[in-house]
Amino acid sequence: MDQAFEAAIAFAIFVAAFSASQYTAITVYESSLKGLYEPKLESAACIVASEILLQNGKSSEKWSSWEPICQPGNYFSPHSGVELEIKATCYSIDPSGAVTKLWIKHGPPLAPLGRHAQKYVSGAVLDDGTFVRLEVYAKDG
Amino acid sequence: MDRPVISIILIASLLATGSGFASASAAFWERACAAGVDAVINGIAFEIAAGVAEAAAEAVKGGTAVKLKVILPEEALVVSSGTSLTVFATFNGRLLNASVALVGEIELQPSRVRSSFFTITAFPNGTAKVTAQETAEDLSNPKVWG
Repeated sequence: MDQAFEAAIAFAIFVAAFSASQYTAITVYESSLKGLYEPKLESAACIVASEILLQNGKSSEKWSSWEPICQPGNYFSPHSGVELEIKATCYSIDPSGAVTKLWIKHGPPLAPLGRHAQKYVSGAVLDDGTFVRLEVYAKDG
Repeated sequence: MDRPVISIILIASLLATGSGFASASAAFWERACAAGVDAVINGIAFEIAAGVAEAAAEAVKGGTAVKLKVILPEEALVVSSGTSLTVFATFNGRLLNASVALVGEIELQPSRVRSSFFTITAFPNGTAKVTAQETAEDLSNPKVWG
């Protein structure tokens, strides 16, 4: 067989093996990088929830007039590449123990965040005895 | 052109292309490694900022000072003041830093702490401070000054 032809075959084998190993390595790297970003997203969700709780405190009036804002720049910086979804639910518990849902406020993101979003849940008992459950989802955009 | 010369040129060009692939791959992985390290330092900064925000929210909600411990995998220098905090850490001889600013009602007392164990103390007035956590060794061997 011609030497140049042999070299071409050897090179083709090298390119195929090299591409396969690179593809595998990049896939593994991407999944490990997602693991590195998860704590950041969970922290981002925690920051957003905490700042909303700080803003509104225990005041039922403030919570009634509050509207969720999903721009991360309103809560922390640098915020590039983070998408948020905010959901607040207010419950009333009467003396008999019955739980009534009073209102739900939902700040939807531009696109659905999907199952990779990190979630942080917090809550507060308000001055009128009602309870607000606050859920914040953060995703790398 | 002579046939052996064509063979040599072809083999040489294949080898050159192969080494080009390898060096491009090495450059990519170097950048990827740097991105991974940056993600870690960013994660640490966000983790401490989240600790500050969480403690502040709890302190305001409960009307009492709240302490929260943060343990990092590596020693880091945390510089905080006003609404922002910056984390400095070394990795493979490279000094890395990441900053996070809280756009809210939280005010950080100025501090500069180097440790891997931190205590975040938040007060009901919305202020917070970051201090180094005393380790078990520090507590068993207290330093006496003067």
